[in-house]
Amino acid sequence: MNDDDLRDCMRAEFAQVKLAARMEDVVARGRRLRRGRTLPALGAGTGTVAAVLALTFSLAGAGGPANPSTHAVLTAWSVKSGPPGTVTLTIRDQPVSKPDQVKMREALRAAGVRAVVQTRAPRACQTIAAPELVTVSRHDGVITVKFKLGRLAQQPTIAVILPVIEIVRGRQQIVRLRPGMEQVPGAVGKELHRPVQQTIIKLGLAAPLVGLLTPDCRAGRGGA
Amino acid sequence: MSAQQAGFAEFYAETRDDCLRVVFASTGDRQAAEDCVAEAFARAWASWRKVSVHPVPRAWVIRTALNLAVSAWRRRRREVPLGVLAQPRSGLADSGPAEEADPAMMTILAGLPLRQRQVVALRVFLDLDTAATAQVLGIAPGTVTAHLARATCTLREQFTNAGREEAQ
Repeated sequence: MNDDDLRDCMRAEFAQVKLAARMEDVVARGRRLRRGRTLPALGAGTGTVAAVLALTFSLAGAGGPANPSTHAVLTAWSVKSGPPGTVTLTIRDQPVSKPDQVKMREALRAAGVRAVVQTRAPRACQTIAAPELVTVSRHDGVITVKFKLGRLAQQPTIAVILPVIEIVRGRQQIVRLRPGMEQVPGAVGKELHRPVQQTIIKLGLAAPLVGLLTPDCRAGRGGA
Repeated sequence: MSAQQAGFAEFYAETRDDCLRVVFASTGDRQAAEDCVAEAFARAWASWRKVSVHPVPRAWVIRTALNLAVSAWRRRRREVPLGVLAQPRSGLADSGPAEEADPAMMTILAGLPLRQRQVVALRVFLDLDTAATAQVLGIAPGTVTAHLARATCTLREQFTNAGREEAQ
């Protein structure tokens, strides 16, 4: 057996070994890495990270006056005041880090939506309701949430609960939702990428739940 | 699709399988190799302006993937698997045995020292010359030659023996 035979033999044996990763996933991961260089990735530690991003928006009427010219744009998300009485939150990437959550809350407040941004599992009292008050759409992995402030003023509080992310370290890869979120309608599991020994499986920005908070819920008693 | 992304897409389509084969042959772990190579390509795209002008971009990817494999091994050696995570992912069924290399071949490769495996894999699958192989692995060209000669000798012997056994 000469060198060429040896090479041909090895090539033939490995002919069926092909990389399954899709180009789009690799590019998306690369973009994410680029963003990580330009934006401080605070709170983006390795290991198991589970994040339930719950954005609880209070009413403009209860907060400061609306400012129609507010326009905050960041890479991962943006808050924009559109036609009178509407505010659009666009989320292009997740998870939103802790500093980002603070910025998002401030941007929403500046737009006239008094917001509380928090990372916790939703309460049972956060029921799905009122799609006419908030329009949620998803296109090409970008979530757009449009709030109609005028209509919202008639309701006490509204919550937007974004999809759950769980990153599991280890050789085996699983997708898991946090307790209480297993029945999220519209949650679409999508594997974006698998770096070394660290599975990152994200629910590819599925449509978030939109729910009205009951008074009990706002009082912290967690009504049914 | 921008010209930059088109260039990367072409590079990805041309080299991804060979890169995986090199890392798989070096590490012996298909899943880990796939993870490393995919991550290396992602990093290549993240730094595409730099990588695209690299003399041998695929060598950059291989070097990155091998570094990732080493880092992963360092992390993994301290990890204790949890029972709850031990359930196989359903998606893994897609990459069944049909896509794996011959176990006999993997056994023969596993018998080689790591450096020899890496040198052979780079030469066979990427057709890198001695200088490029040396650059990827960070060793002297003379060392590459020595490793290649020893590995080739061992592999030839093993394949010949395997052929004889099959014939009998």
